[in-house]
Amino acid sequence: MNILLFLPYYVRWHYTRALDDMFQNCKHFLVFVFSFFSIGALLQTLFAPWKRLGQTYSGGFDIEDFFGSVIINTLMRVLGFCIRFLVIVLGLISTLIVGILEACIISIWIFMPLLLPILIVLSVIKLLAL
Amino acid sequence: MTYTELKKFLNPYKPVFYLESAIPHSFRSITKRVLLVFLIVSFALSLGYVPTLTQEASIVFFISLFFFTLVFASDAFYYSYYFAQNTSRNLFELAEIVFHTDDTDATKGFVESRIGNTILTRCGVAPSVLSDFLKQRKLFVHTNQLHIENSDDLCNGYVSALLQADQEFRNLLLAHELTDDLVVRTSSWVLDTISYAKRYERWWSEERLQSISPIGRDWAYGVAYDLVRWSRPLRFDPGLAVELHTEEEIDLETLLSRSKDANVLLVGEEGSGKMEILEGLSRKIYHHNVSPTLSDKKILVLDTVSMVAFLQEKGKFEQTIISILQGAHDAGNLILVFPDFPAFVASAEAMQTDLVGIISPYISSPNFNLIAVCDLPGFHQYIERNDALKSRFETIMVRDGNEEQVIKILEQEILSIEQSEGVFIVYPALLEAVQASKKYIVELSLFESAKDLLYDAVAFIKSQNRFVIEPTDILHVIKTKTGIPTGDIDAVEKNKLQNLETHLHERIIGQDEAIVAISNALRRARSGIGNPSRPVGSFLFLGPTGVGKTETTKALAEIFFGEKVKILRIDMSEYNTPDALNRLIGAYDSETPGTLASMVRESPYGVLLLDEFEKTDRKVLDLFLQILDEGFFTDVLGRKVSLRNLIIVATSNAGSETIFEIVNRGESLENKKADIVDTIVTQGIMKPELLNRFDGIIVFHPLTDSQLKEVAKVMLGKLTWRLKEKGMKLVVNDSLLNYLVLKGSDPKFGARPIARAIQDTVEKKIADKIIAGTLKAGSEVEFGPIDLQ
Repeated sequence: MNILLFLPYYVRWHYTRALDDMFQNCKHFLVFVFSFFSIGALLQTLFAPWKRLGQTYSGGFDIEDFFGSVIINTLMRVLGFCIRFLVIVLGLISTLIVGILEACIISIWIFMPLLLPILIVLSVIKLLAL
Repeated sequence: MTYTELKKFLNPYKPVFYLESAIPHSFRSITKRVLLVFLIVSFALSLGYVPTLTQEASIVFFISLFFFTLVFASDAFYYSYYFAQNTSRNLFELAEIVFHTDDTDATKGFVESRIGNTILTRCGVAPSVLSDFLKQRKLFVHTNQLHIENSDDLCNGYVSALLQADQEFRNLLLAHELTDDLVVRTSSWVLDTISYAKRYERWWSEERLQSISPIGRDWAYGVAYDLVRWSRPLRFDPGLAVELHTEEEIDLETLLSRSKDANVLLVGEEGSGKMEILEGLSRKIYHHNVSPTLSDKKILVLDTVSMVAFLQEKGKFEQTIISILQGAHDAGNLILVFPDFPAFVASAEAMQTDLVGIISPYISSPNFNLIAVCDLPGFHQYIERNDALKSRFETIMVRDGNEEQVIKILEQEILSIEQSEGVFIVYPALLEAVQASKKYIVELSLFESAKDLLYDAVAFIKSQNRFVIEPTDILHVIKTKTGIPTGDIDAVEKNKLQNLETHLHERIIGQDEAIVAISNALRRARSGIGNPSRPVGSFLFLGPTGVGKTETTKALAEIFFGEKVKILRIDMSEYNTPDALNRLIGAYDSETPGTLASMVRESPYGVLLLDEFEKTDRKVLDLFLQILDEGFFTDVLGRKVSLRNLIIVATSNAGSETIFEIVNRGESLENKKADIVDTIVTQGIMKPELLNRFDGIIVFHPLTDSQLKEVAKVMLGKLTWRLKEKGMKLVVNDSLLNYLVLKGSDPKFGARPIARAIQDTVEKKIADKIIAGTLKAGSEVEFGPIDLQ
């Protein structure tokens, strides 16, 4: 009995407050994915050495030490750039995928009342086909 | 607000009530998980891995998907209503109670609702008691009798209104020692717990998503490889919301945010929550709730104990410290924590390492944060006197949390204790743990001691094969730990307390005023109405020697506290030199504990007798100003020593001359007590503020001849008992007593000469007779004055 009393409230909620909530949640997920990959922070430090690794040049005239430092420090910066760039690209792709998925979920949500009878029909068809 | 208005106000929640009545949330949660398993398995099978089951699996998949979608949508509806923005707290739970209630019986509706039942169980009322009550009660409260106070927590307002309206229900709760405040408090905690659990379920909330650590933020910082070996990240629970040391956390954050010289000494008593402050900072960093300077910082705790144990050579030790500090400096995003800094300093001193010299170059540089955690004794002993070291840090003194703060934290911890130990702690037991800790255990911080009590109670009830911890279990633990009688007063103790004066008079002749005062103090303390922040009782016994001051104290200790409790007795005349204070509370230089501190720590409950109190040093008298006022003192290492469970009796001969003069003039000592006290103050023996701090100043009368005769009778009674054990009998007659009073009467020395007279005459004669063989087992002896001359 109570479930019948509940149904009209549900239908109204499904197309009003539920959609509001859904848009809010989708926004939170998009922001989360974008910030999870630290895209802003990685862009700011794109060319910084990887984890501050490097060699300090002790000064004076020592060609071997000088070029050694230059090569190692350049390599660390290149390594840092590569990893950061990869993560930035991965982050952007993930954000895009999540955005597309969210659009799909919202569409499914809108058509969910139609989807349920379809699932029943599909089950019955499969059952009859046995 | 009337009940009708409340119901109207809660009307938007009615659809959820319909849903919950049809399919409860708990049932949906389980169903959702089961359906998810069906979905995955049937989907996998429908892909054709098992050809014979493909068709059936497809059918199961579609049916499971149908039901899963239904349950998912219902849950979405539920959460949408639960987390809707409200003007008042816990409206959802209140709606659950209200829509569950039949208008003709508000109490039944509350008791049988899920929330009401949980609240009452947490209060410690058994379900059987509640069902019996519902069957046997005579009055039924209609909902229109409820008048709910408008507040930001209508649910608690509803509970209060119900208790106000239903006196019979209220009486039932009062019989379980549950006052209105306690029930509302429990209700508030239960509702907060439910709300927290619901928030925790909501993993998709903005707050939860933001708390997930992003990747790549620390790639611009370095890795201190040497630190990996000797440190570990600080562990903390991100979900807790502890508000014990808010000020200290703010101070710490401010100091660490400085561009340089950002190093802190965190000093506090053992268990005062120093590491919890660091956990609080970690939580803030985790939730991105700190200043930008600290937003990417990581807190690393050094394992100094292992480090010191492993690196026993000075060279290696110094090299490792430098390497660690350099690593932390280069990393740029680390906050380094020395968990027991005084012990580390002591180890460095033992290895003759110049710690200040090693630390100095790093400590003032930017992007370097060091937190040194110190307990009070260690701080006083190793840091405070080392100016060069101390000046490199900013000091934050950590204060112990107050009762309310500690309750709030334990409220959050209680569920995890229950889960890990498999017990159920009723809310009043939690309050009892905090209140009992405050009253009986001063040495540790309130939070630590209350938590220890709860864990001890867990061990106790497990040994009893029970799983519910009640307030009585907490009191039992206190009794076991300290020997202090707590909880209900049993028949034997009741009899002892009610007839304390009679029992004391069996040993003390006269001195009615002293006996009444001290008996009243004991009854006050045992009934629990005494001031918990002061000693049980404090008395100054004034009077000439030998009038029963010390004997009264001894009798009191033996009669009330039992034979096992020893009297802590200090002859204060021995503490009259300038170093007296150090000898009592401990000496800093020689690192020796004080007599008073050690004695009280060993026996925190009983009687402290301070003989010849007036003869001690001034500084010691000043120490007792604090003790009598606050019930504790701090020893030389900064540890608190509690005297709150002791009766303090100070005896003094000061004013004896005045007492004799008053008695000789035939005046009443009661009426002239002020004159005696004035004499003591005028002569500069004790300050008026010290005298005022005693609960009572009791003047002992010089003994009259008849009282001396009674004393002689009591003393001979003891001798008679000793002879009886040897099978001999001493007949005490009136002429013997008169003779002893005549021989042993000296007003200046009170009853003492009587004891000497008995020894020199009666005991001597008996000894002679036993040696001569004229007094044997089974024989009887009687003396007259002529026999004893």
